[in-house]
Amino acid sequence: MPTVTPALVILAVIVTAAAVVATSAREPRFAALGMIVAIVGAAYVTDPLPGAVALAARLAGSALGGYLVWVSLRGAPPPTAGWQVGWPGAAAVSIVAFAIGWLASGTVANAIVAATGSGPTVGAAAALAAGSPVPRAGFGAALALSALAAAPVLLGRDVLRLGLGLLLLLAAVGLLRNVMAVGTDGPVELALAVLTALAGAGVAAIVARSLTVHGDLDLRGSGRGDGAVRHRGLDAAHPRPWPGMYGPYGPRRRSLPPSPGAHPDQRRPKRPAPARPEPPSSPGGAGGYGTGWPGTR
Amino acid sequence: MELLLLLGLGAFGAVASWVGLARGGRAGQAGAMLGGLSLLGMVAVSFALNAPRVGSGDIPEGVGILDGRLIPNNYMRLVVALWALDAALIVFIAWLASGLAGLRGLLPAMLASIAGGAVAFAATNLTLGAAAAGATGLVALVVLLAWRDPSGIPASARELRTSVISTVLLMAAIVVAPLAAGLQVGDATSGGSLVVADGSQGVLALVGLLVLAIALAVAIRLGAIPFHLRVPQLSDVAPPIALPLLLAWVPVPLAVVGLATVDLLLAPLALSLGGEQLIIVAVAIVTLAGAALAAFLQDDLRHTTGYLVIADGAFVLIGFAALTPEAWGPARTWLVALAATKTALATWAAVMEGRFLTRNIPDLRGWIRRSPLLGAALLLTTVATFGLPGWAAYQARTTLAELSATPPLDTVLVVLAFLTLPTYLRLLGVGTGSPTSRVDRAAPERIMRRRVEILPVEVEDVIGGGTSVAAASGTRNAYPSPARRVARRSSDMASRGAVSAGRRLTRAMRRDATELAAAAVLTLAVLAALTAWGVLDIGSAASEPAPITTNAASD
Repeated sequence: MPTVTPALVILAVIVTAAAVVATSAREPRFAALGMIVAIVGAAYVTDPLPGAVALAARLAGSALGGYLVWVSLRGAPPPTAGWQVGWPGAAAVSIVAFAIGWLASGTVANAIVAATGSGPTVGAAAALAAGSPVPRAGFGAALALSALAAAPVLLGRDVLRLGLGLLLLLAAVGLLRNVMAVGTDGPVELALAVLTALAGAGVAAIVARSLTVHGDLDLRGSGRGDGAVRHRGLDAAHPRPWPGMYGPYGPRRRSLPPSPGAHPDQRRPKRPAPARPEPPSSPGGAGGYGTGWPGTR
Repeated sequence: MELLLLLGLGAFGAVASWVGLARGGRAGQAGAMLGGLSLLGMVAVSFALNAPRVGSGDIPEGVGILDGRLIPNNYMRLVVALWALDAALIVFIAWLASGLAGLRGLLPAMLASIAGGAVAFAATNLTLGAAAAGATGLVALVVLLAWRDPSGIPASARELRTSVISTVLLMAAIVVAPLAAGLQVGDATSGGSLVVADGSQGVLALVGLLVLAIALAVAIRLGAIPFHLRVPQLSDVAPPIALPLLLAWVPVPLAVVGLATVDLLLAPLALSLGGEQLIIVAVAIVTLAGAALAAFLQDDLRHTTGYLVIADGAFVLIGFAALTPEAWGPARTWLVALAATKTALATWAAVMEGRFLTRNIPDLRGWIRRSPLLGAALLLTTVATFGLPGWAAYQARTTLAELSATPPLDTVLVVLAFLTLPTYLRLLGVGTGSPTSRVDRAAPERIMRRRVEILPVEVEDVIGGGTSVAAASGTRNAYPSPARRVARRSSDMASRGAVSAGRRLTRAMRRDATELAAAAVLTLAVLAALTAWGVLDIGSAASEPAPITTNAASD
């Protein structure tokens, strides 16, 4: 479809830009919005476009996964640190990766053409070999998404960034599949959509639980609970009991009191108390002792 | 249609038990009941499944579901049946130990993982199989986030990261592999005839990278060294009764799809990838030796179990290093034997921890004297793990070693597989010592069915003239320790207020929970031994050609 080719190339650029937003924005909901645009748009950067069923399945899966993450961020969670390189650094990384992908796909296309010319047709990456710019843009976007997701996935100390990075990785492998033109089978697209939706649900569940328990999105790493728990006479071989570990007559489950951030005081603030009159400092009538009190002047 | 019924039962049971157990109360009872019935239904359906031998040929009309994208096969039938049987026993043990609270998270995760695994095993498309295997890995979140525990959050994040990264690596290899195959065919063909046997350097490098990517995905999922740190952290946080699912069963679908990718797309190219094979074998050797050593040195029972799983999982990597279609059968046989034996081991560890109220191995000295049934279970599990000459698991391990290494090294691999034996012997040896006070306090492992103990107190008073018969005869004072008092009180309470046969049965089972749990563990060990032996001809079922007839390039 030559008429939609420029639009698809632009869509690949938009997907990359949205991934930059997802990895660098400090506002959690803004970052989630970038992720939603990236994973929804990534399904359509393909030449030729798949059938309606496949497109609908991918749209539904991506939208559902993104929506669940969006919903889990209700209640205006505090801004996160974002990526320390900021949006200019993220944009630079994405541009470089996009360019590398674009150029490398040209090399791959030349190799495919050479192999095809010497014998049997290479079935994979047919559009790439045909010289279409869409798979080149898709390959660039896949590489850019992978580069942007690497830092939060491998080094992330924030459950939201980690989750967004993982969803971007899934979008990147979907883009790679589009580039290699391995087909748009309906059941396979449905499976990819289900995987995206389930991954989004997993990210949303972790984010929601972190906000409920800790009141923030920081990823606390020890895996054995907070330090306060370890100091309660529990050694490595005797951690906190899991529910029911000691049967119905065992010790009760120990848990920390909720942190203030998890249960903010949402009661209406009380009306400020009126200022009490100053006690008299000297006796006398007007201007003296008792001035301003009932029965005096 | 049976496959559709199997998947429907899994999905329905998972949703019903998840919703019901999360709500608690009567909804929890109903959810647990529906989930348990679904699990039993899955066992029955998987045994009754009609599995046509499709192999690598064309798919006949009307076979499978989703237009032939999912086709039942013998391997899938046997593995799903074993998985569901193991799951039913584990769920029963969890219910005995902690009631409905113990099923929260565990039961829906079991059902969902079996359904996801069935899709991955039945898939005729590699991408579809990889997606199903990746989704199966996400069930860990259902277990870890079932309770509002702060330590579950980082563990869930690690599991999510592991699942997605391994799935992405595998899917990337699947979509790029046809390109490598096409380039190789183009290189080796000129004018319609083969001109060279080996590929160009570029193709060699690309195929080598793909093999390493697939092995890396499976290594991450299995927890091979250096990706092993996740496993002890997970075993610290997750309920121990859920570890059989999280450590032994969840990696199986991904490993099967990875093996299918190598078997269908890369091994037929017959390229000489000695360097890549050496890297994979080196990782496997380091994992075998390191994990066996760590398991032996650990005093924490959960960590020991985790490292034993890691050590045996290293042989799955050796299946990738073979790089020949002949490794397809032995690798899949070893996978199912690994899952069965490690399920028995992890369940044994969970029951031991609940029984003796400790996971410190030195504190468990003398445990066999208090629970001979558990001792028999561990002994049988040890035998099943290593197998005997002629058994399917033993043959699979030997064949994998021979296929992936030259004569001096294959013997080394076979010997390294026995490095975990001292750990099993240590666990058994600790059990034969003089019991520690903690072991001595544990309730005895015998079924208490004396009639006097199930009579209400009032009746006993009447019979005994104000003094209970049992007390008068001295039997009540025969168990002075707190654990025994708890057991006796439980037995007394079991008979009071039991108004229906079902409730009486339930209370009787709860009363004899110690013995029933040990018997269930022994049953799991028997299942593991039968699997390692090769019952139901699992070896030939595993060697059937992959039904993935439409590879990623042609769908």
